[in-house]
Amino acid sequence: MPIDTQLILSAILEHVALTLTSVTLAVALGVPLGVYLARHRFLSGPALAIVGVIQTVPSPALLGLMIPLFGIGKKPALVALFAYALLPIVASTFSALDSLDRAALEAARGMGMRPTQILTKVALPLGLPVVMRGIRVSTVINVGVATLGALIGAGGLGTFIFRGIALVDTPTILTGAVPAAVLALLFDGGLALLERVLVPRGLRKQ
Amino acid sequence: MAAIRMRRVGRQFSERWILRDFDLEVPEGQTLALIGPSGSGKTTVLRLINRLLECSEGSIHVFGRDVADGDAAELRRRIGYVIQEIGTFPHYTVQQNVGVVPALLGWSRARIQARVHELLDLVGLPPAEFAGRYPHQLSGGQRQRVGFARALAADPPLVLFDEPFAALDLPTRESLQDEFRRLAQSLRKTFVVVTHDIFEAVRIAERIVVLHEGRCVRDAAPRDLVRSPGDAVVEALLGPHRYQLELMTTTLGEASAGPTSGSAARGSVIELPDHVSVWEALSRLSSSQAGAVRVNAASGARVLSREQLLRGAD
Repeated sequence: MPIDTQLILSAILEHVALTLTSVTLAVALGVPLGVYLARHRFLSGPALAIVGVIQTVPSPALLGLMIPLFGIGKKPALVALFAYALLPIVASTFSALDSLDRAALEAARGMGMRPTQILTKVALPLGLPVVMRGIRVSTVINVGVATLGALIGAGGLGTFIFRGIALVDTPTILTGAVPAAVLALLFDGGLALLERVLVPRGLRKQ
Repeated sequence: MAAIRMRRVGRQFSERWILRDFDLEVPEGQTLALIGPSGSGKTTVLRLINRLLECSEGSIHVFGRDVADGDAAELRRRIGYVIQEIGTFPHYTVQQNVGVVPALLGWSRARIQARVHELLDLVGLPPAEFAGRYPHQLSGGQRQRVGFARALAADPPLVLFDEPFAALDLPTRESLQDEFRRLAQSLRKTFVVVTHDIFEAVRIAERIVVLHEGRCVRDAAPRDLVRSPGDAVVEALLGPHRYQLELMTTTLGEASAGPTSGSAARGSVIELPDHVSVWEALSRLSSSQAGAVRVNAASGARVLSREQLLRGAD
């Protein structure tokens, strides 16, 4: 069965959009949430448990559960992917800030930095390598989970995979699976590069 | 005006008083050591001064201003603060580390750079070589020098040191203590140093305050403290090192020659000024294998043998 390259290209773009949008939203909420939890440690146990529960729901089920809430299409898929990406990002931000060198924080306070300055000038730059690891994990997971978006009409590369499965047609499955795998590698590599740029030089091991 | 005036200061942690009824007045330009075992409240005193902790009772004035008035972060920018060497920021270069407080105070970049270079020269880290390095590219002693420069950056009249040498090996610690003494004498700022090491206190401070269980048990010049401890806690602090500490707190100028033995001292003679301690003179004699020191003073030169020096603390 011939496959339209135009179709593949638009499926890839849909897939990229689903992944990037959901991870961006998860970073936008997850990093501040992790910061908040590091400052209010008594909340960190319960909060991380709640976010963790989302992770335990099997991904097809999670997507299915979104249908009564958001109908079908891109919106429920985005919400599910966002929820999925949240845990690694919140957990890594929390543990990055929670395990910071106390002396550096003490010095920052003693020098006369205000809490916000301590966070932006010291705590986040020092914790960045760990936070970035969480973001990379979330991104790679989401490239995979986003293929399931096809089940609820969100499009993306999953469309080919599920069509291939239904037709027992391996080339069609591969048409979805191979680009998805390549995307996962590309995102991971891209974020590794971003990490190299963002992580302050003094923290890089020689 | 006193640099620091603490009146009936107390600090409580969950029902327990970690410091109680503490009074302290530090004149401007003095180098003071706060010493005591862990849990004695010495670090609490330091942290109350720059409001890393708040008083539970009493008042603290720094150069006449109540520290409780106004913003704690502003206060801390006016007071230098040095902690153990690991307190340097690993993601900042030496230059950025030293320039932290001036940057917080909004100085121009050119002014910060000029000041940073001046300070790196002062603490013996040539800027051309060190300004662009990161802390992990420095030795422990060099990092602590960066810590000193950072605390002095905005030219604060008062600098607080919390166990500044504790993480360093002995030779590095001693050379930094010498450096510290040199800075204290040339800058004439008010320095308050927390330490648990009596040798350090004796080497670097003009005055020693001994704390025990949240109270001051002794407040004296090093030589008086060593010669008349006057308290079981101070006795314990001096331990078996009293004789050495006495030699450390006696200058050659004060050492009595004792009865002259008549015979000339064996070996060669080294020359030292009269403000050097007897202990240091003995150390120099050992390392140079000389037999006596010639003490040069305004009143004239004297020659003291090793034996005379050993009796000299009497």
